[in-house]
Amino acid sequence: MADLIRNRRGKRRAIGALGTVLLLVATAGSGAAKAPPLDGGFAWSADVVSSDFRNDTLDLSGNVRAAQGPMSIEAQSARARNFRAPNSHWTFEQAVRIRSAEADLQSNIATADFLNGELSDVRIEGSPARFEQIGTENNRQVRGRAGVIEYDINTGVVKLTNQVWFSNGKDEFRGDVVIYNVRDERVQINPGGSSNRVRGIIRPNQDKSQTNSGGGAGGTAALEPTYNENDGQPDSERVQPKLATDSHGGGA
Amino acid sequence: MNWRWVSLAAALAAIVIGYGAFMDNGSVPTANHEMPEQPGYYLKDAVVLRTREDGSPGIELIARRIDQRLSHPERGEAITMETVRVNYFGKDDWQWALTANTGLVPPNSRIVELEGDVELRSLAGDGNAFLRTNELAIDTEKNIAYSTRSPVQMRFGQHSMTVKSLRADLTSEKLRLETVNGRFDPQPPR
Repeated sequence: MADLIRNRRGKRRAIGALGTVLLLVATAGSGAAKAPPLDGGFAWSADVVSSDFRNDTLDLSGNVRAAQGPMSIEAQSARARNFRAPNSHWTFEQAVRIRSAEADLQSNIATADFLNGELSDVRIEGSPARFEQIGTENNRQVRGRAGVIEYDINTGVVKLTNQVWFSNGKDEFRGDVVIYNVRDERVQINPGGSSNRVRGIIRPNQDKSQTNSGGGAGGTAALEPTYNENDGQPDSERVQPKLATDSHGGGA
Repeated sequence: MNWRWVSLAAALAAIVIGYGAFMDNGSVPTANHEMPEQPGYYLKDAVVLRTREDGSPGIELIARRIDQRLSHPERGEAITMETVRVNYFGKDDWQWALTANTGLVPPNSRIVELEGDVELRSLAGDGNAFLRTNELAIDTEKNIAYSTRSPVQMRFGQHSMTVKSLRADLTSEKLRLETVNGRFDPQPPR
């Protein structure tokens, strides 16, 4: 099934899509960012730490912070399991904020795995959890909201699931799953198909010459974002033009 | 099971027990109302060993000098210790040692106050677990060990911590630390 994309200037382009995957290259010339350097250890602090001797578990409360290189996780409480082992699992709660050189995530609950002392996977949940890319230009601020956001520190891949709203600074999309790579700035919406339609708003570029030519192989659309001034909130006055995707359940 | 934590608790508990045994074994001279403060018993290069039922060593208290000082009845007696070392032998292959420059049991108190380079260190396994502070108190009645004024340096496995305040309930085996700054370091090369 084809996706229909309309823009204000009357350009219409049908993009063949296999499944419901919509691949956008937000900024073609940005280049892939490098992975943040890690120093092989991490620091942590808290106002109060309590532990049961018999369990390898720490309960931390009050200004909890764990940091490794440019990565930091802040919360009001946390629990660390397998605390002394090279591979430990931490759960953070209350006003959780995760920052790296490339992303800023906020939520009420987050889990993080330290593998051999290095922070690897971060998963946040909330109502909603929020993601924002750091280091992008103001006029193409990438951000998203979702019930669950998983952040792979090593690859820079952010996976948003459950009632996702995602914006590349100009265009907005809603779907069940969004996978975004903060380094090459590629985004996939509902990869692998979904029972729900992808809904989006694609706004025209200010400069006509920058209008994307769209469509790569397999239903890929390339867009040049311009700006986002509504702080991630859908703006009913800026609805036109619209992106309507009517693919279902992975149908093409 | 976290044997390191358990052994830490056991080591501290053993100190309490050892202290109790030490106190119980010492006959307390009867103080006279008119008697001025005077020394009671004293021990030089003391080694007090408490064994288990099977005869294996359990806890060993070593001190260069132990003094019991009697005072007026209302003040009771005080015990001072110099260059203190307590070895605790676990049933398994772990062993802990507690060292301090001095130890004091104030009059009419069941609190052991350790001061000066206080260190609790694991002697078995990788030996990569210790607690260091300048002052540590052990309440032998409540079975609680706690820091007083000095920050505590701790290391357990690959974590090192600086703790402003430590409180260990040896009965419930729970540890509470306040104002903690920790760091996980990769396994040091052996």
